[in-house]
Parts: sequence; C-alpha cells; structure tokens
Amino acid sequence: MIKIDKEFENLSAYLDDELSPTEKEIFKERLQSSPALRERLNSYSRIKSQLGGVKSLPEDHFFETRLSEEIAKQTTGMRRYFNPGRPALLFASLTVVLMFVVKVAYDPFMELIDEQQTNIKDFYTANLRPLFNPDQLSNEELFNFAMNRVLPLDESGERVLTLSEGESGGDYFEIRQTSDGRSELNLEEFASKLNLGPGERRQMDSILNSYSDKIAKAVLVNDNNTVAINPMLMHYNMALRADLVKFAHLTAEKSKHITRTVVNNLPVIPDINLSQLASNFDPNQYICLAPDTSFLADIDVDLQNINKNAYAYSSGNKNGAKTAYVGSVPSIKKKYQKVYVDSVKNKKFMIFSDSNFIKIQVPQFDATMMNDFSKQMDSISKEIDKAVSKLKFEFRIDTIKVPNAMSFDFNFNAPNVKIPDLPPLPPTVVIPKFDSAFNFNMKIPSFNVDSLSSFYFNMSDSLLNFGVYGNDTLKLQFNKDFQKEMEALRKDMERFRKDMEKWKDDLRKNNVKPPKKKPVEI
Amino acid sequence: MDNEINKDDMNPQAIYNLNDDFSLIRQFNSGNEKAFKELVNRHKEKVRNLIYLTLGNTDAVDDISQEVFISVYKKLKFFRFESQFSTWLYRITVNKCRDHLRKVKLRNLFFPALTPENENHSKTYLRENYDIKEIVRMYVAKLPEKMRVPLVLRDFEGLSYQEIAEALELDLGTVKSRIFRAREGLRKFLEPFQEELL
Repeated sequence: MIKIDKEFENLSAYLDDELSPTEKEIFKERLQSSPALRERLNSYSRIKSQLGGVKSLPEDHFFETRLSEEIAKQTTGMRRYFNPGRPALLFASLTVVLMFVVKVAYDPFMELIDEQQTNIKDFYTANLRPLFNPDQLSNEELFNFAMNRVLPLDESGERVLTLSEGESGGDYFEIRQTSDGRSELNLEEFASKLNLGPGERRQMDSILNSYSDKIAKAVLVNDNNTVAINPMLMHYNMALRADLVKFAHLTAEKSKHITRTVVNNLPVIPDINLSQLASNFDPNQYICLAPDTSFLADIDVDLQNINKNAYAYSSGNKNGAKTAYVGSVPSIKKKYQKVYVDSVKNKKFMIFSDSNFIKIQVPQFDATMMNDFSKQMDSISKEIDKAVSKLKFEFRIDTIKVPNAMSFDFNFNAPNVKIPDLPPLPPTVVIPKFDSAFNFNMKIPSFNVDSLSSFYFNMSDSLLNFGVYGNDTLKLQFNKDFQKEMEALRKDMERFRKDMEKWKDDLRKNNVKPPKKKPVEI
Repeated sequence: MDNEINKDDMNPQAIYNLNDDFSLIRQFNSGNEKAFKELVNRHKEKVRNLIYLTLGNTDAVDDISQEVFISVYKKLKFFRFESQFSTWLYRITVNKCRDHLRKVKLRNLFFPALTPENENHSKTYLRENYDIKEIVRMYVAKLPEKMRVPLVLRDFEGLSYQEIAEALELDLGTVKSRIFRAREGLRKFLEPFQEELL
C-alpha cells in the first residue's frame, strides 16, 4: 500500500513537473506499462485543470485607498513609536523617563515636594490657638486629666481626649466619645476620702493650677478643623499624678484628721522629672491631625499674647467667653498612617482612625519606667477604695450616769453610706445601732453636763469622720446626705447641751449635790 | 501612495526597476512610498485569492489582506533579499490565515450557534446550483488546512514545490506528499462528478 501511494505521489509530482529528469524518464516507462497509473494521471489532470479555472475574486479597486488610510492611521505621530494597544509599553516608558528626571534633578525635585508639604502644613497650622484658657481650666478638669486621663474637647464633654495604655504596652492619645464606662475618680470624692482640711485643699488646688498653662499649651485647634497635640501632654499627666499622690502622702503625715490607712495604701510614686522626659520630645513639636493628613509641626505658643476670647473652649464652671469648638473629630481619610518623629525614622507616631475615633500611638522612649509608673497610676483609684473599705469605726462618748437624768434619742439616716463592721467594744460603752439602711439610733440615759467638754467623736472612716473643735463646735466633713443628717444630730446635741445647762442651773439653785462622776463609755 | 505612478513618463530602465520586486523594496526602504503602492498593486489580487481559497469564503478576505500588507509595510525594512518577495508575502499571508482560522475555531468552540451549518448538499442540488469549478472550489475548502494550502499555492498561484516549501517552511518531501494527498482527497470527493470533470 505504501509502495502504491509512493507511486501515486510520484505521479502527482510528475503532473507538476517536479521530478528530476532521471525520475521523469523512469516514470514515463512505468506509465506506459500501467493502465491504472494512466487512469489516475488523467483523473489528477482533470482536477488540476478545473482548479486552475476556478473563478478569482473580483478585483477590489479601493483596496489601496483603504490600505493607505489604515497605514496612515497606524503610523501617524507617536503611534509609530507608541502603539496605543500597548499601554504597558507607554507606562514603562513614562516610568523610565520619570526615574531619569528624579535621578538627574533629585534636589530640585525634593525641594518641590518639600515646598508643597510646607504649603500644606502652613495652611493647616494657620491660626492654631489653645483649646483651653489656662485661667478657666477648672480644678475638676485638671484633676480628671491627672487621675482619669481625660480632657474634654467640647462644651458638652461628649468628645474627649483620653490618654490610655495599649494592650502591647504603648501609650495612646485618643479622641473619642466619652461612653466607655470607666470608673472615674471625682475631685471632691478624692478630697473627701483624703479628709482634706481647707488649707490642705488649697495646697492641692495650687498643685493642680500649676499645670494649667502646660496643659493649655498642649492642645491647639483652629478653624481649618485641625487639632494639634503636644506629646508632652503624656508627661504632664504622669507628673501631675505623681505630685498629687506625693501630696497625699505628705499631708497624711502632718494631719491628725487624715486617715493614715488611706494614704498608706497608695502606691509610692517616683518623682517625675519633666525636663528629663522632655528630652524625648521637642516641647514645641505637635502632632497635627488635619482632615486629610497628619504631620509633625513646630509651633511656638505664647500664652501671654493670646487674646482671652481666642480660646476655643472655656470651662463651664467659670465665667468667660464660650467659643464653639470644632464639634466633631476631624475625619482623616487615611485609615492608618505613620508620622515620623525625625528624619532617621527610628521613632514614629502610629495613627489609627475611623469615622468615630482617632488613636495616636506614642513611641516608647523609656519603656520600663513609663510602664511601671503607668501601672501604679492606674491602680490608684482602686487602692483608695480598698483603703477606705478597711477603715475602723469608733464612736465614743465619755459621760456620767445621773439619777433621774433626762434621756435623749439621736436619730439620723444616711442610706447611701455603707458602714463597716464594728470592732468589739467594752461593755461600758453604749453600742450604737445601725441597720442596713444606716439608720442610727443611740439612747443616752443620763449625762454629767461638765463632761460635755470632753465629748468627742472619733470616727476613723473618712466618710464619717468629724472632729470637735473647741468645747462646743462640731465640725462636720461629710458628704451631703451625711452632712444633713449630722447637722440634724448637731442641732439635737445643741438642744441637749442647752437642756443640760438649764438642768444644771436648776440643780445649783436647789443646792443639790451632784453625784460622784462616773464615766460611761458607749 | 497618493500619486499614481505614470509608467509612460518613465524611461525603460525605470520601468525595469519598477517591475523588479527587489528594486521596489529598496526604493521603499529609501523613503519612496510610491514603490510600496506598486508592490501592493502587483500582489494584492494573488494575496486576496490565496486568502479566499485558504479560508473557503469571502468573509474575512478584505480584513486579512489589509493586515497582510500592513504587516509587509512594517516589516519590509527587515526583508533580507534571500528569497522571492512573493514567497515571503505568501508566508505572511498563510500565517495570517492560520491566525484567523485559529480564532474562528476558538470562537466556534464557545459559540457553536454562530458556526455556519455544514453544507452537505446532495449531488443533484450541487449540479443544479453550481458549475463544476465552483464545486471543485467548495471541496477544496473542505480539505484539511495543511493539505489545502500547498495545493492552492501550487494549482492556483503556480508556485514550484521549492517555493511552497520556503513559503510554508516545510521540506520538499512534505510538500510533495501533502499535494498528492490533497489531490487524492479531491478525487474521492469528486468521483460523483466524473462526467462534469470531463
């Protein structure tokens, strides 16, 4: 079969005159002797002749015209070199050109970028002014900043700047809503727990006020919706906390009225050297948060030359111009960005944001000291509460029993005050009765009037503590509910004293010898 | 390409040069756009018919022939004068046709509804509606492409086996074999039409 095909193949080539002269001669002889080959040759020949006569396509007279147009279209101008069908080539070419320009003209190029950055910074930092008027920062706000690490950012207090510790140990500034449910230590509550006298309270106020200028300079705002925060604010917070706790320790040592147990449970805090901490940050360098960018900028704030009315926020506790503050957190488009402290880029602020909050992670410079201190600070409120709960309660009245003496009932009620368990008292002492709602009831059957001069209360609980000043002046230092009740008690006691005086006069008039003094302990 | 070449105004040597494909190519490469038009004029119908017979229909003849000459326009400066211009041109044409057939095959794979139905007409129908030359052309179109193209180049375009081998980049024996097999295929297809072939 293969041989037959080879013969027919040569027959086809013979028809096309593609055999060599020798092959052609040999094949002619074969053809002569083979009718089958001759018949196949005729068949191929007929087909070939028909193929040669197949109609051609009609001539296209406009072919050149269309071709010319198409060629012109594809070779005009840049298309000759840059085929629009190859955008990758175009992009690569432009990239190479741009790289060349940057390499050759690096300095002017960087200067141009720097200039643009400076223009943007100038725009966003224009007219930055302190958010707080230092004269109007209330002691309560300063205390909240120190202990609760919260600064209000608007009149309503709904938007706050908080300082917090991240899970990884770093510290954060955060601008957010106030609804995080943290337990906040109140200035009045703190003073009450420490049982501060008027002089001590003034001392504490002066400590708080000494930081008002620094804090006022640390938060700036302007009408371009920019907020500038000085990272030193973190250090001011630590230093103010340390000063307050140190004050509590010192005051406790001097005062007879402050319960030592409260202060003894407070953590011992190392002195904060602000000038040393300042070496971590440039005091004039602010983190600026603008609507579409964040950057570091050197800003010099001179509080002396600032118009009092220029402050964006004024405390509601004091009189002063109330200027509306930027009502919402500036919306930063970038969800996450890094702002570098310096050109070395080894220290950086990390900024996270969404539509509701902005969080700025402060780089750690002295992590060990900061962490230890921060942990101590965070536990201060808990420690105070714990200390209060361990207080002893003592209530003593030295008096004498008088036959047929008048008896008095003292009743007061302080439902919000929890009274700790009483220690065992001598059987001669009248034990006051407290029920769960702190209804106090004490019955004194008889008194020696003269013994009133030695009458005293010494209740070691900071909330219930009050002292006797002079012979008949009772100084009350309680919370309001308790004060009301104790005021009523004082009036009762006053009435009791007057009745006793009257009773003593009556006795003298009647020459009745008073019985021998016999102390009664309650 | 905008101005017609007037041969009457040329001297005999110029006409000779113009008629020479190599000379036209050199002129074009020297910047004479008119030489390219002469090349197109000289070869366009052969190219169009080769496309027509290779594809078996007229659908894409104009587009492919344009692509062929645009490709020639771009590549002419790389022509090495080692073969006939026509051989080089046919190679480009056949490659363009193959590209087109590949696309059609792919398209038919995904869009079979667009594929024209096979024309399995009866012998009587073909006799009544077509002459024998058209019937032959139709059956040529039914041949496999690798057999069809050498046959077309040989019997329609008149190329030698050597030129076909160069154009299709095949060896001589393969060309000889494929032309034979194409003829055998046609012979079998056309057996019912022996009378018409006479």
